[in-house]
Amino acid sequence: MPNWKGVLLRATLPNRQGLFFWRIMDRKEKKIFVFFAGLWALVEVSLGTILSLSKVPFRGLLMASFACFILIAFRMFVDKPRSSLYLASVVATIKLFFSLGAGAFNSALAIFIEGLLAEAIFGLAKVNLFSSILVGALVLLYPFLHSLFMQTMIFGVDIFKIYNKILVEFQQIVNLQTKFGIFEMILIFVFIYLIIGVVVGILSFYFSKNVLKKVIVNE
Amino acid sequence: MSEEKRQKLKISLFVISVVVGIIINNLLFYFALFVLYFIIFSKDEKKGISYLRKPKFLLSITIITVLPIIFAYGNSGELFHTLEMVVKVLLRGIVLLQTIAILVARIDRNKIFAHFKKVHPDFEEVFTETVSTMNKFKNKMITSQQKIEKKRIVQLAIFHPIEFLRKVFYKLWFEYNKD
Repeated sequence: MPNWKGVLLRATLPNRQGLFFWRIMDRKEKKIFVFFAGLWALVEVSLGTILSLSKVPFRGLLMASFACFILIAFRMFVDKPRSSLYLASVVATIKLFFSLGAGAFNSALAIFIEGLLAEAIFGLAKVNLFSSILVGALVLLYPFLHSLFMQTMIFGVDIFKIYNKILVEFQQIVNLQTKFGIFEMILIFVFIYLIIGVVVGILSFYFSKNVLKKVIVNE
Repeated sequence: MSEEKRQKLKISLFVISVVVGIIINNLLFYFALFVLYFIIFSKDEKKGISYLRKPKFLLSITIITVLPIIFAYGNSGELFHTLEMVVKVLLRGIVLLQTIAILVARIDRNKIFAHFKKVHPDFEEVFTETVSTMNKFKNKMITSQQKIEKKRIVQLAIFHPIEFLRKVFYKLWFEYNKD
């Protein structure tokens, strides 16, 4: 009786690297990988931790813009399956170990999901302007949805009632007679995040293609 | 109390609560800066961080974050309803943040490495290289901060952002390739 499991394993062995057929990077690609991972990790650990502890509003927008730029620029140089997810995994692990308190867990999860989103889009469509725009829009929209989700998880649906109350009170103070409730405001913010994401995607694509490629390829 | 005075009091209470909230948050911000300066990137990173993972610290963060919201809500005069809301929100916050704190405190570096190694065989090597690159960039930024002319850099960043970014990446890439 032949060992079918062994036969199957040997048949797939030449292409097999790791559990999910990960094609390993060559030396130059690994070098670029570490450069981008180091840069992203530095910004996440230093600026990210300061921003998340200071509770500055729209901090997710700033960090996601940088993440989006790194993901697009890196994929421009190393266009291999699952490379974006690998990059995000390394940065998320560093964020988890080197950052402070429970915020690290939250941010690491966000970084990983941003990588997952970029991987899904770049995996389906190669790196081009359209996919970069899509990555920009989704990666920038994600932190907004993440914060909504986490706030609902932590404080319950009541948090929206509180926000609504603050909004109404603010409208009364500045004498504004609008009928915008909290859900209309959320939709407006989603639209704004999407627009900014598209702009960041376009800028990242052209900057990586025209400027960064000259620096890194023609070293 | 006349309606006008009541309105003025309400506005001033709202403004004060927002200002107090911002000040408290900023205190926290400078505390974080101070902590970052001494703890992050130091060799014995676990020593300092362990305190910050305690539920007591997380609880204080929850209270400080929710306080301005509660003040603003309390201005409406519905005291009982506000109190009910506060208790509900805080209880949820405490339970969930404690759960997250326990989860974070139990993170095992070796377990994470073992898991990622199944998918990426060179994960640990890449991780170590990335951390050393991160430290290299950090040291470069600290040393160059003393040398550069800040006014010129700001001018370049505002009026010629692409050129500025190109220079930054060129320097980082050069620093990275040095060894």
